[in-house]
Amino acid sequence: MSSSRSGVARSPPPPVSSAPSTSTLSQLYAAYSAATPPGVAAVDAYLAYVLVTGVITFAYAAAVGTFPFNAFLGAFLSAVGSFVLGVGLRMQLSGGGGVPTVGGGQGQSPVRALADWLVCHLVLHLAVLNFVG
Amino acid sequence: MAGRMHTLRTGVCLAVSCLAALAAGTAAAGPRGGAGAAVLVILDNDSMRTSHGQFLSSLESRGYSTKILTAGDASASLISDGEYAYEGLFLLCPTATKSARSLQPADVSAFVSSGRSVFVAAAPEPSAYTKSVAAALGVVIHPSQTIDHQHAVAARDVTISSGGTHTYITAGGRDEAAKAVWAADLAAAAAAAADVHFVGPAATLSADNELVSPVLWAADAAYAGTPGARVTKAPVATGRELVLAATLSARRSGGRAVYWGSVDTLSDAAAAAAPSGHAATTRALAAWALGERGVLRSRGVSTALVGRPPVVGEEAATYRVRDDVAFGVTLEEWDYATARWVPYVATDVQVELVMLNPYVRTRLASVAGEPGRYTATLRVPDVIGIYSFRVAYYRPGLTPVDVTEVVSVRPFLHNEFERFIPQAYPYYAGAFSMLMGALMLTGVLLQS
Repeated sequence: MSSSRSGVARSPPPPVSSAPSTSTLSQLYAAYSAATPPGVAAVDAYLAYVLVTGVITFAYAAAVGTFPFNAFLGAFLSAVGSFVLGVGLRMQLSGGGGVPTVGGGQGQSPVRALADWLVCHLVLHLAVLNFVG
Repeated sequence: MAGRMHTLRTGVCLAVSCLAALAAGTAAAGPRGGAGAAVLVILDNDSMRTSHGQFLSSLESRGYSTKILTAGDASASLISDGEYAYEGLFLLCPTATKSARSLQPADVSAFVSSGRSVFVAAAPEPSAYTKSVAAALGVVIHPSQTIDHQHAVAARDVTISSGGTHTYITAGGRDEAAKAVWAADLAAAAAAAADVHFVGPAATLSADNELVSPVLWAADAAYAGTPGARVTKAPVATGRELVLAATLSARRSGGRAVYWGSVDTLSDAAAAAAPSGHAATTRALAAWALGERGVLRSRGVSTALVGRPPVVGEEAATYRVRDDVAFGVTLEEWDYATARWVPYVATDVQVELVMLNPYVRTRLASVAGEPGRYTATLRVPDVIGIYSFRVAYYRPGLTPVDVTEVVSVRPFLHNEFERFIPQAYPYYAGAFSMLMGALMLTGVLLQS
């Protein structure tokens, strides 16, 4: 009845979901929390924290100035380095994640991954705390 | 035997005379000889001894021994036996053309620089000698006279033409800031510039001499011109630029020179026809020239580090950027009456910290218990280099005080920088928070 009145093609109506009132974000959050194990979720929270810290550091330097530059670089690169190491940890904890290994195996045990991650953090913070002054 | 006795006697005489000279030298440690100092007066001609008798006897009554000669006298000499024999030189000979060989302008300048006094008087048409002596003292005498049609003294301004030429005038103004000059005679402080009578040439100060300053100048209506002639072009000087009396103070040695433009008004007849302020003013100028007032000296220049302990092994006058340095100096004035140095108290002495340009300039404050001692605390600026603390106290009527103390300023040592920079606290917090976050994540992952 309505299709004969207008010639414009309409998109099909969206499928009815199970929850009565949903938004895209809460759907996204529900799908995410169903798919990730708790350890990986903890790492994800940590990554978000590191990201926010990095953004705050950069915004502070942009607002106030980059004096002293070594302190700014130390704090910012500490955030960047922590983020990178956290991403690596997440890739190993979520089942290999496509990281190629030397022997062609399936990656390492989670404890080994955590230990590697800690050692890298030790080196990172050693350098950062010396550079920040 | 006789030769040995002879040398012994001469040796004893030499020792006794040296001791006597030492004792005499330390008795009066002032800048001038004080009472009994000798003054050489050169007059135009012998009639001036009587016509200017009051001025000359005022010098005697102040305790100076005057030797009066006329201009052409060949025996006029400042130096005898290789040193100056006089403390003061009064050149009241503006129209005499012959001058003694030892009284040339360069000799007069050297006399002033040595810490002694000169009083030069000019006349309406002075000789080239007087003009060059005045020029050596910073006063340029022009070939015209000072004429003031509004301030002529009618009773004295008589000439061959009727109506007078208005060259015998009253002064227009005087430098009230030069208190030391007017304090030299009791009545001069209360005198007014209009009391002073003047007949003399048009004189201005030379622009590049910073030690000469005017103390009496003509009124605003005065100009430099030829008496009786019409003015067809702009006069070389008018009003306040026409100097009737000027003073010169030499740095450090305390030497003084006074230029007084009209020798005729130093005479007794002129003083009688003028108010009493006139004679008081001329006496004050002569007394100031002889160093009775306003002779200053500086002592005890000190710089000291305030606020941090000195670095071991560092040289004495080395300071660091952003240091606090306390500067102190003592100023004293010679008291003619009691023949000793007394503290000089003022509120306008300032010190500068100079390296090509002054970086810091602050006023010196008197120390509470010690009159004459001034201190101030300055903060060294952020530029390194060789600085000088400078007190340049130039005031009319006072000896210029020019004190310089050189210090060096170094940058921070490697351990004198601030350890933690407040602007970087967020960065420190961020770096530590990364560490804490990593440790917390470890805890969480080991638990789960």
